[in-house]
Amino acid sequence: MRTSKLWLGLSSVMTFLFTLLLSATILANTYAGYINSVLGITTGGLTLQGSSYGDEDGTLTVEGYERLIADSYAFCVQEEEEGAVLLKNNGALPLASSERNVTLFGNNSAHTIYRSGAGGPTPNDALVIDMAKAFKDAGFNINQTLYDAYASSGTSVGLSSAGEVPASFYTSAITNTFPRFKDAAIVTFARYGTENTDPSKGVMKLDDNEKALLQLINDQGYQKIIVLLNGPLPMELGWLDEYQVDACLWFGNPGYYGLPGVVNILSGKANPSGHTVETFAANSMGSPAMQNFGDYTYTFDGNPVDRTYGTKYVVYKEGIYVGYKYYETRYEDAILNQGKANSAKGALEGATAWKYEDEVCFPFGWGLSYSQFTETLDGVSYDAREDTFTAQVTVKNESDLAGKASVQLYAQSPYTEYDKQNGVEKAAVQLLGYDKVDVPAKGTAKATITVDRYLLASYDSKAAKGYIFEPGDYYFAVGNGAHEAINNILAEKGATGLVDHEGNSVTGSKDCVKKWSPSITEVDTKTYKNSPYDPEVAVTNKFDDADLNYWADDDQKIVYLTRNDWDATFPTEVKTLHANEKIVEGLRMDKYKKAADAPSYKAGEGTVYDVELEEPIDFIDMKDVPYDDPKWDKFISQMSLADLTISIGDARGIPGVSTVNKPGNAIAEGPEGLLAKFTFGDKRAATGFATLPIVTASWDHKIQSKFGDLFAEEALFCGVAMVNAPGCNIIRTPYSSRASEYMSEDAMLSYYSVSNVVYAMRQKGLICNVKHCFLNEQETNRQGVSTFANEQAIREIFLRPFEGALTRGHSLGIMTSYNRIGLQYAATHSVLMNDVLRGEWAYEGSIIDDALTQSQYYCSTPDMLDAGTNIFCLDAQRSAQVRSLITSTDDGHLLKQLQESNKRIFYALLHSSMGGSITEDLTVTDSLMWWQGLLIGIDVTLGALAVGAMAVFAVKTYRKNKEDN
Amino acid sequence: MDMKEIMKGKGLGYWICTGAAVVSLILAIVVFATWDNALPNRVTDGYLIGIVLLIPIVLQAVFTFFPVRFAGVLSVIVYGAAFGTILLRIADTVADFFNKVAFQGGNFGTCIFYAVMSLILAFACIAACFFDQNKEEKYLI
Repeated sequence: MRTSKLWLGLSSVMTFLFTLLLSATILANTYAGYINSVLGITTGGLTLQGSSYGDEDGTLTVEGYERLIADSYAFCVQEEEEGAVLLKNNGALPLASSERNVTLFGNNSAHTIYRSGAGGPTPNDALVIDMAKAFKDAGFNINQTLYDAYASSGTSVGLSSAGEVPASFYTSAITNTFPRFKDAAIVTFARYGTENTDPSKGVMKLDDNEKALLQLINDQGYQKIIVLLNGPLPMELGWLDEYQVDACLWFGNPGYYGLPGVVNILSGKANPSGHTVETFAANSMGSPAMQNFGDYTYTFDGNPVDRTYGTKYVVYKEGIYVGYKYYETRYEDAILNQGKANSAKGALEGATAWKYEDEVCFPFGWGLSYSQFTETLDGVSYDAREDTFTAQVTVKNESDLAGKASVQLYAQSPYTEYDKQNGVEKAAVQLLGYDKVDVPAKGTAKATITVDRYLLASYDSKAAKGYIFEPGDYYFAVGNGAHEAINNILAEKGATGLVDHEGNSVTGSKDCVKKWSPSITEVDTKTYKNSPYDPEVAVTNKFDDADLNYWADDDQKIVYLTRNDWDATFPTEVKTLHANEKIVEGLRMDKYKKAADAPSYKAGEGTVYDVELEEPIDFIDMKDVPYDDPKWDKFISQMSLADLTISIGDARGIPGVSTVNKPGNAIAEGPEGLLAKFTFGDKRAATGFATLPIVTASWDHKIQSKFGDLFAEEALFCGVAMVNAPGCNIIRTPYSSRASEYMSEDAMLSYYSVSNVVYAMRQKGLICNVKHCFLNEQETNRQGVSTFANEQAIREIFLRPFEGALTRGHSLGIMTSYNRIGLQYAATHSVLMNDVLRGEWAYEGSIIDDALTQSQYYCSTPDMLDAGTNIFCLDAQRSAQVRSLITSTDDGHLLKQLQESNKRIFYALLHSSMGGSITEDLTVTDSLMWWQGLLIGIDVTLGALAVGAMAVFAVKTYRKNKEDN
Repeated sequence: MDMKEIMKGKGLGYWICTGAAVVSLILAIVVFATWDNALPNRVTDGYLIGIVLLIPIVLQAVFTFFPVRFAGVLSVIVYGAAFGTILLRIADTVADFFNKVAFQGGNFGTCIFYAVMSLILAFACIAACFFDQNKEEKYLI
């Protein structure tokens, strides 16, 4: 080989290596925060303070870390003990101490879905407690042959499969092992959901392999059949009696270490006290919401908008009737024979009339205990000065076993002529508040529940254009779930023909109901006209354009479900929707144009930046400075354009800003536990707790707060001051794939649960970007899907949990969603961010988008910044885009928006553990991390070698040509 | 211009690069067809990978008529850039796979396919650099 060719080859190798390393360097810098976390380089070099597990002044220690880990892992078990829901029990549970030879049936017993796989911690493999270990540790003898066969079956649950093995799997070699483990057949069925894709429609039914398995178990003559339900999604359960199932326990996603809690319930070591967070419908496809859930594409004249992000829609035609609000309201109307509720419309296929007991297997709020409780609603008082209701409840334990009782306070508002005329809907029963009390054996306990009356007001988007409170009879009731509560209310009304969810005749209990009538004679439109969080701000319609009827031509306008006429308005599928000119125009994003009168950035008009103050103000000097203090302007003015663009770009964290001595900080995932590693002790991954539906199903403010507290404690020991969690979208249907990251089908349960979690996190200095705000109730087409809903549903259902997180929970972080609110992408929705969040709710924190790279069709950087987005999730490249945009267009308006974003980000971070950990002598430098310097060094070396090799090749070739000539 | 004569005069290095360009074209088509589901959720510009992969086809067409000695190196640079473009976009899905989570979406197998194919193309053109582009020493530069 000629030497020149050799050098050409070498130069190609060097060039390739240079390109490779350069890409790796860019990648590494994009994920600098994550790499720092892996390498144990904590938040800006800080060791965070403020832990209850720290020493006397809150400083973290290895000993404290070990105590925290012990508490976290114990809490994982407690979560299941108090969150798992005993749906059915004919006395089979708890298992007697003699019943310890059991067979774990169901392929998913060996393939438990610990969590959804979405944002959250990785497992510490050696510590994960699987089903076999959980049972064996509790003293059970399990059929290991079958368990091992399942473990190696190669079949697992998915979005379109229950993951059950066929009947042929059970060979005689396996069935011959059954007789030794016949005390109980414990069958695990699972349903799976995760990010990006929803489960296939119909997968919530019992599939053929599951039926065959149940038949096999029936044929084998097991003494007891116990079904365990794994995953947050509610399966159709109408088959429990058919297959002689004695007991059924829903345990959601237990996290990596929570299964002992499930076994403790089976063995009787723990007394179950969880209650459902969703309705278990007999037909998972039958609810009004399910009629419009999934993939819908506009029809266009031609193709005028981007195909990827602008062509999909979904319509929430059910209005406020989500989950139990549909089933229980229709039930009342059916009992009272009003609103054509007995029509067959919406009933099971083949039915001639709608019947509650045919539609619902287990109601919302339902749950059994090994104790027997009876409740009495002793009184409900209204405090006009505080504008609150307070309910007094007595719980009596009729059994010999102490237990925890869930006390659930529901209310019914009058459904009036005014409502019918103005399209205001009222659920027959709605959750108002709850508590959990310890009740000794044969003893009693008292519960006091205080709730804001505001939460009972209805939103009238047509006449009053605000919240209203109407005259009439209000009923307050307690009960084991929403259905028992409505039966109690109906008993008070003197109704007959009541049934429980199994179809048994019941009478309801008047002792569990109180009637209250406000001393008003006309509809009150004034009391809640202004925001309860900022009386200066009027509350009025903000989402008229989220209603499809705002955009649609007359022939495409829709009718929302109303209890005034169930038959005529039960939702039909909006299968086709033509994008008229208005819609096409509305779908176009990338609308930001520099205004003609926008100040000049270069001339420093309108705002000042890069100012050298006589007495520089450091980041930490702004701690405890109120948000509206003018000192903020002075502080921000010190930063150059380059400084200002640093903090808006998230690379799993935000770099430091040396000009103001602001250290870098990590931003971690996620709703199912922290995606981070500890920087102390054995440096294991953060704890994978049981997920939020289980936390919420405890119906216990203390458990929900404890989850937030331990989560935030772990964040301190991981060096994390900000997290993208928790999630609180509504679980609108049984096919809501991200249910594992959310809390409930009910807005109020979610409102309390998320605010409990978030408030506890804030106490330990963790800023939580509560997600995904809002109308992100399906994964199908989530990026860019036009989501239509009416303002009453938005206010009372879909925004309510976020309202709780930001007001009751005092969150200083929130994440917008991928979808469009109506036609407007959430992260460019100025009305949402500025009028509602920062206006009505007086929110002072920062807003982060859900991770997307710049796209002119959908998530345009200037549109987002201008509308109020402050941090660009997982897209540090936006920083450079903003910088270049402002300089190239000389846009002083965007500069002001950028300064506002920095103020909000810094304000939030100063209220985090980071703000509590910085000392005044901290100096932040722009020096690179050691690994960054190393990478750059290698890049330069390889670049030089490549150039050198090319040069040698050129010289050799030149000489050879010269010689040849 | 006699195409037959031009082609007759091409060396092994040229043919390797041409083969790589053809594969690159196929890969580009695959990328255009699949990137939306294959790449992580946050990526909205996956088509850029396909565009970069089209560049070697243009280059190879140019080099056919205007041969240069270092044609292979230029192709290596482009495939290296293609690999970099891929790497920056698939990282979330790859990280999810190893973290045993699935929160960024995408299809791990397809992502790895993109990356491995672009690497193979780069390696092929590196190999091509050790061979002649033309059988005779007739180069533009």
